[in-house]
Amino acid sequence: MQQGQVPAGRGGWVLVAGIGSRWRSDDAAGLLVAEQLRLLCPSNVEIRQLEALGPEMLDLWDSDITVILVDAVLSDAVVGTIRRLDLLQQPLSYSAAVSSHAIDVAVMVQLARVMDRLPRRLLFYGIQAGSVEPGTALSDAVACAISVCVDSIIQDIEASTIG
Amino acid sequence: MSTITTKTIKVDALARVEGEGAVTVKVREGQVQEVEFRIFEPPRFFEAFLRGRRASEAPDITARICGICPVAYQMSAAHAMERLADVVVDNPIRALRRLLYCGEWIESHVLHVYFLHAPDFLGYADAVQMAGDHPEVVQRALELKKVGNAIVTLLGGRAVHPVNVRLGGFYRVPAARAWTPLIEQLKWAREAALEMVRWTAQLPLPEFEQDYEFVALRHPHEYPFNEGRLVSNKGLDIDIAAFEDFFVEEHVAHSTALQAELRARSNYFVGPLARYNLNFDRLSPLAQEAAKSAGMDARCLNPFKSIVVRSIETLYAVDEALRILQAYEMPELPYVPVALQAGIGYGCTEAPRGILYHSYQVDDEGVIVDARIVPPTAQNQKTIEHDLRTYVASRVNLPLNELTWQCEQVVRNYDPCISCSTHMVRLQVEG
Repeated sequence: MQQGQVPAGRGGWVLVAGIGSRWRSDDAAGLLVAEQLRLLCPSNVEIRQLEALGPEMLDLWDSDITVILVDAVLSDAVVGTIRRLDLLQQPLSYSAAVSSHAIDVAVMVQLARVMDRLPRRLLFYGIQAGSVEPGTALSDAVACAISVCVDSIIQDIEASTIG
Repeated sequence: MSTITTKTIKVDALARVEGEGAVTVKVREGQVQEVEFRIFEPPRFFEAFLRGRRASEAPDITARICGICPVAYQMSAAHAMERLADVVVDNPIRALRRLLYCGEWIESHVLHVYFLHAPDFLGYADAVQMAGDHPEVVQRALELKKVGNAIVTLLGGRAVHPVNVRLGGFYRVPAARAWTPLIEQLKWAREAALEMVRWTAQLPLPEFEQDYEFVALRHPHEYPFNEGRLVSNKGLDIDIAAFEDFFVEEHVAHSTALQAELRARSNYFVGPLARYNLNFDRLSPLAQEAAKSAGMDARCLNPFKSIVVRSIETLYAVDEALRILQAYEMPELPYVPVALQAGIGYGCTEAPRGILYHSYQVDDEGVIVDARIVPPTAQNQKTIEHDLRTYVASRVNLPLNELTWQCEQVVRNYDPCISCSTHMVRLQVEG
């Protein structure tokens, strides 16, 4: 099977997409979670590291699979806070798409929703960033959160594989 | 009784454009006093950190300027270095370069037409809302964009920041059989692109025409991607090496991107509308016929109709890609050797948004001493401001929120790529 081709009709298949930028400090969190998962996950898990979401992401989704998105987030939470959302139950609010280069998670999910292309399960892990300034240093709290996030995602993967 | 109008149109963050930009238009007593298309995206200093790098690295480094038009940067860089080395890349590698550019135009134009521009004319805030009412239209757009992605992935190595482009050609090229599935996809895409032209042509587009100076490449035989002379509809006809003799950039306080104009003239217009006006006769017969069926003349002065022109160019790109692949001839070697010498090389190719000029000064060890990159969006800034001034002047009595929305649309006509335009600011430190 070619990379990225999750076979249709396989309820146990999981796609994990870590989103972010390695060159913007804590914005690398999603990529680093995906990197660690790649070493730990079985063959029914497709791991992607994405610097940006584009509409072609929808091609990777299948109505039978579980999709887990991981990204750094900015809010008023304490740095390193992990938010786990079931996006089929809790849609993210979104503003109008602002770029031809990238689409944010909320817009992507809403696009999938209106086009009836949502996967069987759709989870979002947001890691509260401290700094997203140009650079490669990670906040200590975000570095810790990455490991916690990996463990939680592995539990979600195991649950998806079973049921 | 006349209405004396004083208002300020202010958009602090333009939606559905790439990058960070804003618009301010001040109207006092019915007269437009001040217009600013403000770019505040931070400068990225690519021209600065190209200095000291090897000339062979220029395509890969400059490709990182943009995620939606990396091929344009790679082509302009490669052509500049090849011109310095007095190397001409001929067919079949030349055809493959046109094919790669076709892929990029398809991706970029489809994304802009359906996701950024069309919602304006149908009253939607964004493509997501449009998809709710027209899922089949957005689905077609996704499939069409995928075909463009497939070309760039197969020939460029990956869809974003292709890695297979080098001076003289490519690092490797696919065998003929690798293209077979894509040929079938392109046949579908040709029909989809025809429908794209029909669909955009029936959108309710405002009437607004200006006396623009369009600037584009013109080639003796083909619709331009990589090669040609620089021409305008007002008499310009120069070799690309003379670009800096005719075009000048300046730094204005309200933009981190340098603005350009023609020396001793003024603002000018680059991009699909410019190419179309200057090269209609070079479109494929199918694209010309589709244009005419859509009610488009060879001459179009309405920037709102750029959405139709982008659709016509998408059709042309699909048609051209099919022509190239149906006559595909695998080269014996994927590249032509390029032996650099000291000097200055010039490249100018047609990015999706217009002419992209590169020049490089290289030393006798093949190291870049200086670089200059002039992206299309930077070149269009003054024309965007001119359009805003003229457009608002005849509509000052519209309700503020309606006029503000229309001003955003005026900017979106140009499909601005703001991140590309802010790669360099010339700083002068005093004291």
